[in-house]
Amino acid sequence: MDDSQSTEFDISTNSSNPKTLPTRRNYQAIEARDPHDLGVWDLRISDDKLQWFSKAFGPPDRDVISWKLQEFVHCARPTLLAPRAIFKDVRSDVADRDWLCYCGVPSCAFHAQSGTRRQPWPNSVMLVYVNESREVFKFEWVEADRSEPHLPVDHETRFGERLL
Amino acid sequence: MTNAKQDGTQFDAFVTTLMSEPRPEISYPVSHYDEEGNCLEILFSGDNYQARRIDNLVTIYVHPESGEIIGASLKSIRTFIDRLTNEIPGAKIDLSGAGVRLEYLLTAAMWRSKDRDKIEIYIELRDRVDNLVVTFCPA
Repeated sequence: MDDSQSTEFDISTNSSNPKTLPTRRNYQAIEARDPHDLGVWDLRISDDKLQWFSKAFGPPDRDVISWKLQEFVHCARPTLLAPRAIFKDVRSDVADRDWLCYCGVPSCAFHAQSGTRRQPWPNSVMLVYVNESREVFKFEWVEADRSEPHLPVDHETRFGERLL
Repeated sequence: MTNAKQDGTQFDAFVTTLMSEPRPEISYPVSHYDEEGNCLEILFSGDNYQARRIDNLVTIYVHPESGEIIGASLKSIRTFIDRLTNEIPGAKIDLSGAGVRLEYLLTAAMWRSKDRDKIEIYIELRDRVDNLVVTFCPA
């Protein structure tokens, strides 16, 4: 087992959650807001994930830069550093795990066909998911709540707890 | 100072390299198992999408303007398969082998739902995955 895998965090206590993470081969370190004290801490994303973003999301013209990779750089990373909300326990068939979800409305999105910058999708918010090992594994646009347009639809039932 | 702050140039260099290279040729539908999130992502095209949660297992990717289904993700997929093999002894699914036909997983998942609209979404997904075989090892 990689030493870094022992750094899984308990969201309830700050002492076991260092701001920094040991470097790990084939992963990139990125900064995000620490929900404990709203300082900045390290998260990671795998090279494999960034390569998937790069290769699978774009038009047939392979010279057009992946919109998904551009949105990770220009939309997801800013959301991690300046979220509107942070939720804990992303609910799925596996009961309440210590996963985090950062939520925000970035200032732009990117066209798939041209790779160019555009206005963010209307009535949408961006969610960025982080697992218990502080690894970003997914981000996506989802429909916004009608009464609270800065939050995702069904946010009351999708998450166990709101941290910010 | 965080490692990310110190290593920011490393991230930037990695992403810049990815952006400077032509994207590899890809044949849709395509799937990707995400070990960190224990979820399986399926794409029918590389277009923009908005994610819509169908149930605890499936989220579909819908084009924000046309409404076309672009793809889907299946969450907690290993856990789902473990439950499936426990509940249906005849459905032996070997994860360590060459892979699992996605249409079989979608059929099994479909019959957990009693909602006709959701079942129709499952049927559309199943029809569009063709003979896609998914593996659960990181690429």
